[in-house]
Amino acid sequence: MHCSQPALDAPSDGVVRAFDCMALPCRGYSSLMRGARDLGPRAASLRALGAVALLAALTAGCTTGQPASHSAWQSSSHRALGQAISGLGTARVALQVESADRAPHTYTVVTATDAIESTDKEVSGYQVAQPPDDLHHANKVVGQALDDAVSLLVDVRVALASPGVDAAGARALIDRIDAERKKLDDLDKAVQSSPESVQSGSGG
Amino acid sequence: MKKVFEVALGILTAIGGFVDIGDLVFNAQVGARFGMSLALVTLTGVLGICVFAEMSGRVAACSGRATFDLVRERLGPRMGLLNLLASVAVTLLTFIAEIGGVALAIMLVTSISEVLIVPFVGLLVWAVLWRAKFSIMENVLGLLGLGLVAFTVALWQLGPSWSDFASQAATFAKPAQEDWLTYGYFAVGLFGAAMTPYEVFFFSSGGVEERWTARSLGVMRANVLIGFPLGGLLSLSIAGATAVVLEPLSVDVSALSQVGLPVAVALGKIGVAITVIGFVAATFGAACETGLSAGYSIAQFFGWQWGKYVRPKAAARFHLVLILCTLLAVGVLMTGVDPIMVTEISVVFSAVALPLTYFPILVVANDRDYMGEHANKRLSNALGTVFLVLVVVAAVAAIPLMVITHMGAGV
Repeated sequence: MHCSQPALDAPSDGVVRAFDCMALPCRGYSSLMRGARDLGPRAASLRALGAVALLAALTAGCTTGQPASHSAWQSSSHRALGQAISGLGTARVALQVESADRAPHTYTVVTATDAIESTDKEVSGYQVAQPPDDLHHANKVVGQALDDAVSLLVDVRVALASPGVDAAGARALIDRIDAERKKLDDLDKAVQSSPESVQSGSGG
Repeated sequence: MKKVFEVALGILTAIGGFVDIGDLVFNAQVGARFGMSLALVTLTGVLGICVFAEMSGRVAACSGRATFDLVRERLGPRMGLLNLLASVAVTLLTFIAEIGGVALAIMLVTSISEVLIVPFVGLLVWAVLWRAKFSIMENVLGLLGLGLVAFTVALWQLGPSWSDFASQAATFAKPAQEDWLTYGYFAVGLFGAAMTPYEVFFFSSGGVEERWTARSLGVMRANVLIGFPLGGLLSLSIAGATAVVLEPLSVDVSALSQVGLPVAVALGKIGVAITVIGFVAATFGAACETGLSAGYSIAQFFGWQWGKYVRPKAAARFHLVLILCTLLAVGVLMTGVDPIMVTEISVVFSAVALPLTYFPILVVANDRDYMGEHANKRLSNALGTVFLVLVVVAAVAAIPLMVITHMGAGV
């Protein structure tokens, strides 16, 4: 304990004293700061140079249009495909409960709309990023699959909202959802294992 | 008989009032992605909030004064100000999230955009804070919040494999496709959601509003030690129900509408209706609690007259803070920001602010000048210290985990 000054407006007891060093400058702190100031102009230039280098590094990292690294592209593809799979899963449950008349109509329509919004947000973010130079084709395949997923979600919402779905209509949409989810899942596996070999339709 | 009724009512409102938007969102997300593998984190958080709520309730009952009042006096203005800034910032974020949560819940049955609903919710919250009696506000919203029991019934109806659930919980069985950092992020989030700081401010200030004395300790402890754990069971039911219905479909919960889907599957329309009432009551109740907590904290720190037990004219600055907080929350939400994202951020930052909230409570609860014979005993101090270590770990890990995992989206 270097400090001896009591804290302002506080009873002088152990707990307050324990915080005195946080609140008031004490000897160790002052000498440390004085030491830093005594380093002179050379240290100041070094600090300025460090700050410029840091700023440059940060700016370079945030530059729009810079190709992503392979691993960053794989991660963002995985997140976007995962979100699309999630949105389709949500739409599947919404269709099931609507066709079985187990939820208010408004509720299922809001659920489908939320699924479109969440998926579309992730897909939009994915599609504006610049892929690595050798993965343009794979990026195009993933982008197309994501677009297909959003289109299917819109089809589900349209069917749910007006005029509503019967059991047969729901079954047809659920079959399409299952096929699309499988396609996205295969594509995700291909993207993670060998992104250069990603082909449209086959997922690998 | 009156005493029994008082205890029962307190317990029921504690159960109904335990879950807020942060619990709803985080428990559903965790259930859908990790099954019940993080159930022990929820239980730990519930035990932690019981320990500190009991302490702060005891402080209120024995001293007749609320937490911030004593923190400033006991630890000095500088430490008090640090505590105030952290707590109010997090409480305000939570307040914004709760008002957004009410709007989202109403949207589920009206399909009107939440941005259009937010101003009306803000007005209603302010009207309740301004006019409604404290006990009516707490009891009505707490009892309606019991609608969330629909999740427990739905889980039972869905008939999960209880042995699988127990095994997942006991072995911390992380799903293979998830990474440990994301698992850690959700663990910290669940812990933060269970131990949200506003709960203790509201609890202790509410005790002063209801004029607790040392004779009220029994009722207070029943509320905390029975009501809160049963409220925690609701959290686990939400996680369990989403684990059964949404996890097999790899659904990542990002909207309130997804949270209620398991109830629709299990219980049908009536279940959904009860759940939506529970959503509205739980988030509206939490909005009132967080709004009041922000007002309590600021007024108690600066030594202003505060509370709903005095006429608004006598506590003008306290009510001005409530109005400003409500305007701020409505203004932020009207920008179109996603309330679920605000919720996630508020829960993570709650975890960051936890040590600044709970350490002073532990100090004050040990002060015999205030507490007399009701000062902390060995067990309270041991539990308090263990949880303080846990909250420090959660606080240090919260922001790095949020950044690295892209807010839980994955590394």
